[in-house]
Amino acid sequence: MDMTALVIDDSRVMRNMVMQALQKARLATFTFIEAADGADGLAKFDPKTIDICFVDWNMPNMTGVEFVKKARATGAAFEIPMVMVTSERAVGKIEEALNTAGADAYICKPFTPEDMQVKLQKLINKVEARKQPAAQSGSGGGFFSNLFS
Amino acid sequence: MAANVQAPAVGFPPVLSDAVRDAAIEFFGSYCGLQPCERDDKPVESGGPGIMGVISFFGDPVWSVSLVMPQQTAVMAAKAFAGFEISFDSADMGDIVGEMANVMAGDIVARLDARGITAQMSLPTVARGNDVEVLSAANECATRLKFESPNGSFLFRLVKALDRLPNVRRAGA
Repeated sequence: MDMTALVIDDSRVMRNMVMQALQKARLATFTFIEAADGADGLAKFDPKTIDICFVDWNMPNMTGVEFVKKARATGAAFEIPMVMVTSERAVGKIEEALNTAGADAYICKPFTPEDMQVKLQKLINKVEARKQPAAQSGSGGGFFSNLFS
Repeated sequence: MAANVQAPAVGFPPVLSDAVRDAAIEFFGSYCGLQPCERDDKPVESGGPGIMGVISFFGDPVWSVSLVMPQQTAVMAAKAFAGFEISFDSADMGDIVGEMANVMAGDIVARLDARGITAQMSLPTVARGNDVEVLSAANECATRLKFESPNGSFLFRLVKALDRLPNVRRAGA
């Protein structure tokens, strides 16, 4: 399944590492859009084209958690998975991201492609399920596919 | 009013240096292929090109950790961590050393958090150059952790702000 992922991290090398790990994990065929901080991410965030977001926490201008809160507040983004990819690993931080900000998954740096597979498989399945009815209805699907779309 | 603001001889809190030591061994051993071993008995090598990533911790106490690597160690560790070669003179080297300091700092915060010590970490600052030395202000206490591995050496400079200056006498006191 083709997916568009927004990768937000102030480190260009780390964005490359995230993208490489996702490709090696073979969860989907990704097209990547890169952003250098939360504010840049918000400017590039289009719920109609972005299927999933990978967000660092500590960044200049706007943190990853602020990005998730603001993206969620638009209302249009409630079903787009937000994955924190961060070096913050204290329990309180993880709870803040998942329970308060509205992130869907939390991956601690450093990570491996296997970590990505384990933590993201269910989310990717959800994205696929969300995208499939739309794809079917676009190709002239019947009553049920129209219902889902 | 008389004031003597010279720093007293105070030991660096072991709880902080232990967290840095454990995080360093975990990070460099597991993700940078260095198998580090602490060597307090060896003098710190100086001279030559090197790179340094600095992160500060805000909370109680206020302190900072500087990861200092000579060129050879930085190139080896960066390649192992990133999964691809990074030239020492490139902008990406600064980027990856900042990330390495950042990842280690996250682990340090989690280790301290488990002991009831809270801290918020700063964004990393990276400096690259020759004969770089970290100097301390008078109101700080500091220590060094030196590591060696078959693939290169590296060290940490830990600096903590003193809670107060005990030798300062207030007017009328």
